[in-house]
Amino acid sequence: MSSELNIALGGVLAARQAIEVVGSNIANARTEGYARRDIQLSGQSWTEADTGGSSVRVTGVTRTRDAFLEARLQEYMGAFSRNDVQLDYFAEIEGILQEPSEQGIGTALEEFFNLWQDLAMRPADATTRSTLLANANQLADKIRMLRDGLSDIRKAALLEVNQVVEQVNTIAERLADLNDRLAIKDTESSPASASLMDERDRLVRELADLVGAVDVTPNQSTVRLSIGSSLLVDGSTAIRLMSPLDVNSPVTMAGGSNGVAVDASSGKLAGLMALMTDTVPDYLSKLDDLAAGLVATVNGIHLQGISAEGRLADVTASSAFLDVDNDGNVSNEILATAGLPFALTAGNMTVNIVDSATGAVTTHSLDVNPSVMTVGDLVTALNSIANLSAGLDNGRLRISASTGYEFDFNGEQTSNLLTAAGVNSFFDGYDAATIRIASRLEGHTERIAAGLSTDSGDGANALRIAEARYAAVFTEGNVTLPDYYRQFVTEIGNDSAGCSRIAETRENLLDIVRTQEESLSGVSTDEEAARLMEYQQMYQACARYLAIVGKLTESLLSAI
Amino acid sequence: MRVTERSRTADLLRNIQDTSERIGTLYNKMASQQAVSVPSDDPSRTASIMRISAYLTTLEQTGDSLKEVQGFLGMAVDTLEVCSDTVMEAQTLATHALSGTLSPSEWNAIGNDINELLESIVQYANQNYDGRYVFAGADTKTIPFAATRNAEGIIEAVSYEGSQTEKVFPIGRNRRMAGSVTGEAAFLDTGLIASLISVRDALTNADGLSPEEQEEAIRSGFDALSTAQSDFFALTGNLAARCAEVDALIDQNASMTSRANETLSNARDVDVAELTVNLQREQLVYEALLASSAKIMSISLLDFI
Repeated sequence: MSSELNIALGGVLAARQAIEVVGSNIANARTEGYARRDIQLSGQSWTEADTGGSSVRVTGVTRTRDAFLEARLQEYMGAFSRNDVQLDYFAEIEGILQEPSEQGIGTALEEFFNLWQDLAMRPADATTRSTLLANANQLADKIRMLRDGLSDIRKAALLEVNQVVEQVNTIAERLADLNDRLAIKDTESSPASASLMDERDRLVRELADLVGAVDVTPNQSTVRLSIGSSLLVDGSTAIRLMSPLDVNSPVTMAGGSNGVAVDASSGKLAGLMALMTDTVPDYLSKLDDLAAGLVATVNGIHLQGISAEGRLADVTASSAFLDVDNDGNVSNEILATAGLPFALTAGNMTVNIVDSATGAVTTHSLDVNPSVMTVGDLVTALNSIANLSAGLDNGRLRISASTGYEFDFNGEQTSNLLTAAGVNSFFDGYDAATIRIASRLEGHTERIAAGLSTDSGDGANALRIAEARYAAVFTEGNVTLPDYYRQFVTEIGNDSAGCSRIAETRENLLDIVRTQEESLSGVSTDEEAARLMEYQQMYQACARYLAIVGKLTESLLSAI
Repeated sequence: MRVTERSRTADLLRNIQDTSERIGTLYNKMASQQAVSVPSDDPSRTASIMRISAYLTTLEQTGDSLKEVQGFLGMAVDTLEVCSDTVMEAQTLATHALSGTLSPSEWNAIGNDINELLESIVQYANQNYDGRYVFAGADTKTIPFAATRNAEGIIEAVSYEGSQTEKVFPIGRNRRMAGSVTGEAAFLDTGLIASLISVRDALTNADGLSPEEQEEAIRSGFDALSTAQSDFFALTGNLAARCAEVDALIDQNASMTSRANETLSNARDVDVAELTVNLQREQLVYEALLASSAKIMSISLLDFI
């Protein structure tokens, strides 16, 4: 009789444990990272003689996990996160770009050239001059603001990189600790181990999401994680990541791989680093090129013009020659390397000296070889021109006419020297960060050089600047300034749209794998309810069987 | 395929999010009435919109320039036409003087009338438009003509103080047009003012000539005036033709502006009817999604145990 009792008892206990597992599954149906538990039952013989009677026992409770699916999930999570994290930044970039709209740089640039055309029609009109200056100021402001905005986005990306690095370090340390604890238990049949493994898998996924880390030893009780070729977690050891020092530096590995740059190709970190060190710097560089092109083009023409004040009697350049070799002397610097913001070419520069009384014009053309000529040579050459004197004012070229004479630069300027030095310029600066209206024009609209003669209605130079909008400023591809800006906007749009499309595709792939993984490891309450009924019936049947065996025993005892 | 609670919830949330996002996008387009809000909506269309907008502002700028030229040139032509009438009047007076029946005092009176006409022409030659002297060439701020007068205030000579260069206006991409002629070309080179002075002086006998010499001087001045008038008419006609060209350019520019506006509208603006239909469809989808999800999500085997 004891074997029958044992059979019944085994069944009751197994059913109760199974119900416990079902309960655990139902309770964790919505727990993130929880893998459904399966109970394994097997027959158990209670008699040595083969009477056919056997009970049931629980041989294990397993977590339903597929290492292959898990690896794919990690891979797709990292790939998706790389693009997903960039989407918000692209939205911000497009927000500050303000295109296509009337608030963008594109409209301001067109308006700028239109106002030069207005000035060409009404060069003596003070209102037209003021409007032009105000618009040019706005254009320069917008360019600078866009640059500042892009720079701020790089800084924001750096902050987020630092946060990601902190998170990675925390998670890696917890994983190393879990590895340590799981190495001791080395089994997932106990509920405690299974929970630790759930936790471990959840953390591995977080690392895949953050830094694209992959488990290089799947199917093991402990994980070994790497980012690219560098190990991040190895057994109970976690290698710390070091935050970048600035927006141009990489994330590096500490410990044994001290100083090695992290070569993450997926995960949030890869997306942020790509934005911070590649994408946004590329935009900044193009914006700088646009500003430099605008400054050089407008200043190159403005230089040759004559203002409403008449020709020049004294002018100081806005850019200074630098003492590059730090010998305390600027004069001995070679022009080409003397720190001017724009490139110089071998060519000439033209100066017209005009006798104020007679109007007699004497034209002088100086040969300039910037790779040989020094700053001192230039000053000497200018001083050799009758009725003209030149010198350096804090490194800036200053040119003056003798009393009774004045000068202008209307003529060939193939060396680009005076434009690079910022003589009689409209803009100061040389890139998107420094572009602004020339300080000598602030409050002095009459100094705008609209004409090529002293005639009050001469707007010929203003018209040349207005028509510069059609000039191929960027020699590669013969691109005009407005076209270059449109290409810049289109590039950002394409990058953003491309990132969005890739993110969408990767999200779809991730969803497919997630669904597969969820289908395998997730909990269906309907399924658990069915099992619950099944084990309930099992329990009830075993209990009933126990009762019958009890009655049989009772009947037997009553016969004594 | 096993369907779990988490996957069912995830599917529902994803579907709600996708539909809400589509509705949000449509709503934004409806509110802004623009098909492209940011470059990533349609990068190539963004480039088109920016290119057409730039082209449109150029056309509008050209339109403004043309109207400016039209005004400036119109003022020049009107002034020259008034001057032509004045010259014709002077010529009529000179013809009358040469009719052979007038006395020296009557010649003198006619000379005084011609002097008045000369004063008018000098005044017209200094005509300005919107604060700019029409016949000063490129030096539009300088009064172009200065008269030298004798003790009685009679004009003895008129000198040109303006620029030799014509005032030029932009009228399109790399296209320019002179907005007038220099006063020197119109009033001095044609000999208009000089011939008027000459006729007037002959009639008033400013040089104390004998009657025969005076008549000869009047005839000579009359001939010079006729020649000047002919040249002046040709010049006025030339400017009037330029005016007609500007009028035609304005019409052409307006037509191009209208077409560019239409192209821009096609590229930039939303099709409201299409958008409304799409919005209604998405709303229906959203309602159906919520209704069906609420039904499915609320059913469980546990309810029947």
